[in-house]
Amino acid sequence: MSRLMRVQFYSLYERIWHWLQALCGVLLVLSGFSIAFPESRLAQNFESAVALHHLAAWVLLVNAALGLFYNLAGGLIRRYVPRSEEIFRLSMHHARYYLLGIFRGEPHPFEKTPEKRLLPLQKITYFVILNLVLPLLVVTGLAKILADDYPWLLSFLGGMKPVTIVHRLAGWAMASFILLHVYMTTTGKHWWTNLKTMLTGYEEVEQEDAHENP
Amino acid sequence: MRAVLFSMVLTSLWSVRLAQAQQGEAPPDARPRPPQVTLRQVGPPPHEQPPSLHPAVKLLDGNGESVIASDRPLSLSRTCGACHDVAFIEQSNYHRLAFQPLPTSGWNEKDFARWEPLVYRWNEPPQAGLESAQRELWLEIFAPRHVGGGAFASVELNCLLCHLARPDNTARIQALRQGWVELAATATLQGSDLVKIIDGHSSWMKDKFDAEGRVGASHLRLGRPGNDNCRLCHSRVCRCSEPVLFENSLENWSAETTGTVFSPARLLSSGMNLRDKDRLDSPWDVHAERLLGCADCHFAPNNPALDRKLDPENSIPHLAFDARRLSRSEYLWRPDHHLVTGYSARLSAAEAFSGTMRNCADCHQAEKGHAFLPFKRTHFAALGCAACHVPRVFTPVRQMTDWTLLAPDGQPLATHYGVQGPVNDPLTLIEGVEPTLVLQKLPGERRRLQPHTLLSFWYWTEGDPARPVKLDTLKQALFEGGSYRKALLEILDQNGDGRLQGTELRLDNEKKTQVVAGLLAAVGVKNPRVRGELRPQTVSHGVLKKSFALRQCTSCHHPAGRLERQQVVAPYAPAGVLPAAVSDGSIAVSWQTVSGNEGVRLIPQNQAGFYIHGASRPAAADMLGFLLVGLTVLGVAVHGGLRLWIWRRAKRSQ
Repeated sequence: MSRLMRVQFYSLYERIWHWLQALCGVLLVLSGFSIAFPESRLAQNFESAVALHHLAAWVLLVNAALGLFYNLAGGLIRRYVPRSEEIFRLSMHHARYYLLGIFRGEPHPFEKTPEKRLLPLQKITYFVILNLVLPLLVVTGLAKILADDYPWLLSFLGGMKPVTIVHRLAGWAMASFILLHVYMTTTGKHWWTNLKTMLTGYEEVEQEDAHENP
Repeated sequence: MRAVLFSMVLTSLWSVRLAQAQQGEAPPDARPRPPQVTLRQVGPPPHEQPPSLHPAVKLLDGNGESVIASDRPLSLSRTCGACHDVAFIEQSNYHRLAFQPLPTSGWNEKDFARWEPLVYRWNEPPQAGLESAQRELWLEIFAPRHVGGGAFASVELNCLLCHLARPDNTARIQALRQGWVELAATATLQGSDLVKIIDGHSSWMKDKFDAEGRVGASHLRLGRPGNDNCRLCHSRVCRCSEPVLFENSLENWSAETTGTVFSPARLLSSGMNLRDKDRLDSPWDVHAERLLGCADCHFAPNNPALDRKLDPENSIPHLAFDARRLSRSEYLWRPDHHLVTGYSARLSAAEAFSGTMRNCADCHQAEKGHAFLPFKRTHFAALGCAACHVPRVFTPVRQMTDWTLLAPDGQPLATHYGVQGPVNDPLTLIEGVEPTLVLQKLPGERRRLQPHTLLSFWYWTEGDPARPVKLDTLKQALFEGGSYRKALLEILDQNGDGRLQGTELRLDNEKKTQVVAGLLAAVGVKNPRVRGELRPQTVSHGVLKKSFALRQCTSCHHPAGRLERQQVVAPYAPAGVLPAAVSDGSIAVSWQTVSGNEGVRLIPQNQAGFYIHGASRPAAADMLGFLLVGLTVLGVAVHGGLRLWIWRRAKRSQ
């Protein structure tokens, strides 16, 4: 016999942190688009786009730093580091599920627990985003935003043009990640399951009853 | 109850105010109003004629004798030289170099001496003195705008032209043109009651002199040059106190070439037919409104009161102010007349002194203002102040000057920016011109964007190296007995009315070009070919008031912004020749022009590495980015669509 258990996956802090980063990420992508393509119909006013981009960038940066501290201090950072087995074997298994199994109605190959809540492909993606894309965005963004007061930083990185090209490419990558991330939330038990978990912090998980009477 | 009480109080207050108003009293709560003070009225009312501190002057002739004793013409080298080092002043005075070939490395020095296509003037290096035909040429063409001295030493440097409040320039020019060179200085005084020139002889009014033959400086009205003095040669647009109204012509050189007018008068009260005039509540130049005169900025570099003493080569880095200056007497003995000047792309005699003037930052602390502007330092480093503070110039500006064919009156075919219609027709609406931002090189490898107007020229050249065909030769080739040559009429007269006008006077195909080239060859021109030039003119004046300054980010941060926009620099390309850029070398932009249906367009080049957000496009990066996002969206759509389709099918089968 199995029964549904309400299990906490995300603490309140983690949820606030996530949604704040999500908000900042979306605002950064949209305002960044407005700055890069002011002639677009989708673009907002250039002046307010610049102000919004800067504000969202600082909030995201501070929030990211707090998140890093939270994960380091709590020893939770290990969750984000993919093991070699996850990189090579389990990720293939995981990818096969999204490419085939999901259409055949196969059960998800990995069981999510509060301790192991990141799946192999998710870990690899986050690892790239957090260790490559985000640092690129932050460093190039900081060089640009501090160009007036610390122009040496921009010069050190090669000047406004190369820095902006890297920032822009990383921005495109982040926009793709956000799109993919939002879509992947719909691949839970129901399309809303993962979204609900990130909102409430809890998910109902089937658990075998260990003390079943003979 | 409260409402009734409130309305009673209001009514009684209103009655008191009304009663006071009827009695002519100010209401008790009226705020004290400041007196009607304008900048002109600060302090005690000015004298009608400001007192001159200059001592009385003994007017001397060329022999050093008093003019009233000898009745001979005035010699300024003798008269002014009694107290000032006239030889030094003449040497340190680039105005004497006006109209002479430049001592710099401009391309035209090698090939054309000094070539000025706006007036089709080709100045040969001066030969020995002012002899024969050259003297005649100089007197006819240059005398009105040459202060004397220099290579044309037989005309004395005319101190009075600049230092007299009301010099009689008309009489001076007349004297020069009549060949009375030695009377030029005397003629400048003719407007006063000191002298009369009759038949080439001066007649001094002795009763105006004191016993020692001196004249009071206040009588002469000697002093610092005023705007009217500069205006005698540089621009004749208007006098300061009058509304601006003028015709576009080379007499108004500054307006014709840069669209700027240094006047305190309001744009809306001008006599010009300006678009949206009632909204143009700004002076033509805010500095003129604030009572700055030409000499306030273009001062003598060794003037102890204004000397910058900030020569980057020789100054002590930590020194903000160098107190070691000339004494007043030292300065007055040898005032340096290489007047300080700003940067200009125009080839001029003052080129060697570019950037000696105080710049905007010497008077204005830009960083304390501009609260709305992000990245102030970056903007201030890349943009000259005029880039935003001269967002538009309000007179028509010469666009194209085509000397490849001539109008019946022998003039070139000219078009103007900023007007749609005949340029001097009062009914033509003047729309104004947005200057082009061009990268200007500054000392120390600094560069900044400054507003410029772009003037294009086409003319015939001959020989090798190419030189402009002389104007007389061109007229000889095109006209016969005051009319166009038959061959020209046959090829150009499209409507067959026997006249050439409007667009008929264009070399817009190879056949027409060959006919004119043939006509030139027939009068002895060797290897005639057309040359085109694009000359930027730096816009330094015409600063509008604060509220008119450019502050829309997208004026520049946009693909159609001021830096990326293509600009039509000529309505057509005569003989299909594209113009080559000509400047004094201070312009750091590479030019590329193309010819199309709408005329000759300037293709904006990347402004030497400036990356302008919203305007600059890293195409490869964006393509890669769009591809990445596009593939993600496609993948999500396909994957999601398949899931949805399978889910629906499963639901139906249940």
